[in-house]
Order: sequence, then structure tokens, then C-alpha cells
Amino acid sequence: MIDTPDLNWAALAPELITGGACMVALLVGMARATWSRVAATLVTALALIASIVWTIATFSTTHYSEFGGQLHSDELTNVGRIIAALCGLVAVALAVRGRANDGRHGEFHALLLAAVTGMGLLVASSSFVTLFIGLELFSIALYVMCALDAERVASLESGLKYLIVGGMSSAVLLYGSALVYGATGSLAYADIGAYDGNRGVLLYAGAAMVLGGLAFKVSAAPLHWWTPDVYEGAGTPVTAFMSTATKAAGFLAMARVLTTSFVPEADKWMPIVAALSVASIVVGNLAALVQPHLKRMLAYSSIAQAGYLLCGIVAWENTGVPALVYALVVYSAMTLGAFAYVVVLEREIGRDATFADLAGRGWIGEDKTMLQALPALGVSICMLSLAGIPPTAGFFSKFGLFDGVVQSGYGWLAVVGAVGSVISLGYYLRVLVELYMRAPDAARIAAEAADLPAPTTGPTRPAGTRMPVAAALGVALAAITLLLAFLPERIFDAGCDARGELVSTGSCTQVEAAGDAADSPASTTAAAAQ
Amino acid sequence: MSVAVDWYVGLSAVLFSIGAAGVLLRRNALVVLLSIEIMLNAGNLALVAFSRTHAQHDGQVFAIVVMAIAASEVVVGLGIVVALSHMRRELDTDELAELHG
Repeated sequence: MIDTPDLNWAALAPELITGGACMVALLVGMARATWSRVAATLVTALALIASIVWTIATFSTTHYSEFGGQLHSDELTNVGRIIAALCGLVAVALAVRGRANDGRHGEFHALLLAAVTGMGLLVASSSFVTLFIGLELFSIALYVMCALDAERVASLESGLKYLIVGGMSSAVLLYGSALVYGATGSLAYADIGAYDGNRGVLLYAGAAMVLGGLAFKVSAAPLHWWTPDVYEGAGTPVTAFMSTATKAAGFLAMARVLTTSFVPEADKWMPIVAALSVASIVVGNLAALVQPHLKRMLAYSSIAQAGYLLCGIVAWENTGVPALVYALVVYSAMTLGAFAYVVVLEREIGRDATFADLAGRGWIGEDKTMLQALPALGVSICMLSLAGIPPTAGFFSKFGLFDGVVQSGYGWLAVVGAVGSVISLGYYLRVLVELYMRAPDAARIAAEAADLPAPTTGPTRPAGTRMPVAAALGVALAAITLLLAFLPERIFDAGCDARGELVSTGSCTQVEAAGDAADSPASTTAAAAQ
Repeated sequence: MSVAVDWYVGLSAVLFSIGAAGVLLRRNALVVLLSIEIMLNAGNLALVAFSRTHAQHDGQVFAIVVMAIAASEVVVGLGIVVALSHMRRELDTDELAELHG
């Protein structure tokens, strides 16, 4: 008999499901038959649903220090797992007819599942070893996903750029964890946090490099410059997945590392995170104003949103974590909704979309029924939500984040955030202006399209492909964005549970107060925060 | 002969800086991939050196994990570079075919 270590596999069940399905999807995808495409999609969707169901069913079941102290499976982990898997599910649906028919469906779905597995591992990590493995597992999968449309130079370029900056950020994070290990003699977050010896320069340098590596992944300025190029070059379903799930996993992992390993240094990293937040809000919002290309605009918008989300980390001692969890859910819903419309539009016109392509698409007329104009209404709601206009969920998520930083004594950060939101109206509302107040103009469309990267030369879907699934999904996500505004309690509760795993001091009562305030949009504080 | 651990850490810092400079300054994709490897291996060296200071195995185990991951990352990078160079060559041959009309 061989003695095996006593491992608690239940702590890793969602990752085992998606990881196992990753192999199956790859095998199924190798078949030459026509059913293989459908089968790969089904396997992926079923695995993601199974993982979500398992995670929700065991949401409050916690496993600490499993696998030799490498993994924590708790509420925070489960929040990350659910968001990542849901984003994956949306990406699968967007890819149904949104990807080129190039026979790489097996790889696409297997890589998507590998990425979801890696994100789960990342948020479950309780030591720098698992942090690095999780981070690289999803990053490497995403590099390949970006480069998967290998017939387009833009796609390969996007993959290579992402790999180079991603590889460099991983190396920075690795070196940071090596320094932290040198300073404290441990790789486990809890042991590092409890180390009471000399917490000197070595530890500070290590912590700063770990923070830098993670800030890269969530595309916080000034480590954001890769984002627009990578988002533009990658296939739109991939971009949608990348911009939402990566942020959720990255932010939750960042929250866990900073609040368990580096609590004594909090007074040093909080101003740094606040500075990253300001830089992201300023750079993201200002650069997004001048983008004619929809995907680039959304890329800069995601940088600005990363700035708002960083507020949740700054406010970790108060209500930051629940606000961050709620904001991540809302951000994912509205961003995916926006990308769903971009996918629909791209397939209809057969190339990347610019603002000029939006003109007049919200109109109802002889050639367009109410139903056909619905996707435009959906993307409009998502844009209003991204801009943070009540009564959309985007308003309440920003309110929660800004409320947290004010309580933590960073009132000026909330002011910067509010000013940034005002600037962001410039480009979010531009989408609505194009959709409803401008007539299509062939000359303008041609002029703006001339700046786009070279169109696909490989196997692609012809212009005019209808995307009923993606269109319906966009409308559904817009509806969810509205719904989340009126049902924040459940997510705030989950966020409070997640907070309980990280922070032992303080309470979540302020969050509940914020939730109550969120129920009455007319309240004066809420208006002031906007 | 014994060498103080500081020297190893110092060497790893130098290697890390060389790697970072390579990523930021060089334009050739292959050299950039090499530089990322140097950065990751600088991390490995630091991990192994600190592992000796603390008389533990954790750092060494981590270094082995990192080697495996770094290898897969470079495989992906090389794959993309090869795909890009393929595309380049095809474009060139197309031009040649046109000239010969």
C-alpha cells in the first residue's frame, strides 16, 4: 500500500470540475465532425454551470489551510469563483457565432475553462506559491486565447504583447514574493502577516512588487498601457471575458494578500493604492474621451473602472470589501452587456466597430421593429450604468465604493472619483447620442473605419451574420444591471461574509446602512456622492 | 568555501535588473522572451538563496514550480512568434508571385 496525503478535495471541487472539463473539451474539439463544435460548447457550459451550482450550494462552507496550507476555500473564494464562471458562461454564449469558424473551438473552450480554473485557484490561494500558479494558469490561457485567431496579425500581436507585459508582471510578482519570503521565512499569507520580527525594507520592497504585479493584471494605471492594444486585437468574446473575470480574480486576490499578509504595513500601502486609483481614474477617463474605436473606448473605460474598484481596497478596514464585491458583480454585468452589443454589431458589419457605426441604430422605423431596436436600448442602459447614473446598479456600486473611502479618511479620493464620473459621461453618453440622435453617415463610417487594424483575412463569418444569442444576452445583462440596483442586499451580505474572512475588526453595519441608502436614490448623501 | 547569502541575493537583483532592462529596451521578440526568463530565474535564485538562509525547503519547491510555469510561458511565446513569422513569410512569397506575374 502507498500512503497518500490526506487531502480535502471538496475545497477544490469547482476547480476540479472546470479543470476536468478542460481536458474533455479539448478532446471533443479534436473531432472533425460537425457535432464537435456544439459538443465543446455544451461541455464547457455544463461544466461552468455545475461549478456555479456547486459553489452556490456550498457557499458558506469554509475549508481553511487545505493542501498543506496552500488553499483557503471561503466566502471570498466562492464570490470570485462565481463571478469568473459566470463571465466564462457569457463568453461561451458570445462565441456561439461570434468567433470565426476556424476549427479551433476545442482550444477556445478548453482554454476558457483553464482560465476559469486558474482564477478560482488565484482567489483560493493562501500562499504565494498558489498565488503564482493560479495567476499563471489563467494568464497563459488568456495569452493563447488572445492569439487564437492566428490568421489576423492583430490577434497574434495582441497575444504577444499581452504575454510580454504579463510575463514581466509575473516576474515582478515572483521576485516580490521571493523578497517577502526572505524577510519573513514563510510563503503563507497568514504566517507572513503574523511575523513579528524585523518587518523592514526587504519586506516593503517585496510587498510593493507583489502589489505592482497584481496592479498590472487588473490594468491599473500607470501599469495599464498594454490594455487598449490587447483588448483591441483579441477576439471580442475573449476581450469580454478578459476584461471582467480577470479583474474580479485580480482584485479579490489583491484584497486577500494585502489584508492578510501586509496588515502592519497598511498605512504604507493604502496611499499607494489610492494613488494607483487616482491615476487610473484620470488616465482611463481622459484617454477614453478621444477613442473613435468602440473596443478601445471600452478598454480605457475598464482602466477607469479599475480605478473606482481600487477604492474598495483602500477602504478595506471599513466597508471596502463588500462594496468591492458588489461593484465587481455590477461591473461584470454592465461590461459584458456592452461587449455583447459590440459582438452583435461586429458580426453585422463584418469588421471592428467605431462610434460612426452606431449612428441611428436605436431608431424604430419601417425597417426596424421594436424587438430589433431592443439591443441598442440594452447597451444604452449598460452605458448609463457604467457612467454611474441612478437608478442603475452602476450608481450604487460607485456609491458604496466612495462611501467606504470617505469612512477610511480618503474623502479626496471620492471627490476625484466623482469628477472622473462626470468626465466619463462624455464618452458613455456619446454612445447614446450616436444610437438615438444621429443619422447613419456613410462617409463618416468610411473615414473612421480607415483607422482600424487590418480586417480578418482568414476564415471568418460574413458581414450580416445575425447574432440572436448575443443580442438577447446583451438585453438580459442590461436587465440584470437594473435589477442589481434594486436587490443589492444579497450581494452585500455575501460581501460581508467575504469581509469576515479578511478583516476581524469593525463590522458590516455601515454597509447595511449604505444598502439602505441605496434603496432610496433620492437620499441627499447619495446625491452628494454622485 | 562558503559565500554569504547576500551575494546570491545581490546577484539575483542584478539579474532581475538586466532582465527588466532587456524587456523594456530590446525590440526583438525572442530577446524579450529571453529577458523575461532571466527575470523569472532571478526570482528563482533569490528563492533558493533565502531557502538556505531559513533552512527550509519551501523556497526550493517554489523554484521548481516556477521553472515548470516559466517553461510553459515561453512555449506559448515561441508559438506566437513562430505564427507571426509564418505570416510574414507568406506575405513575402505572395509579393514574389506578383512580381513574376
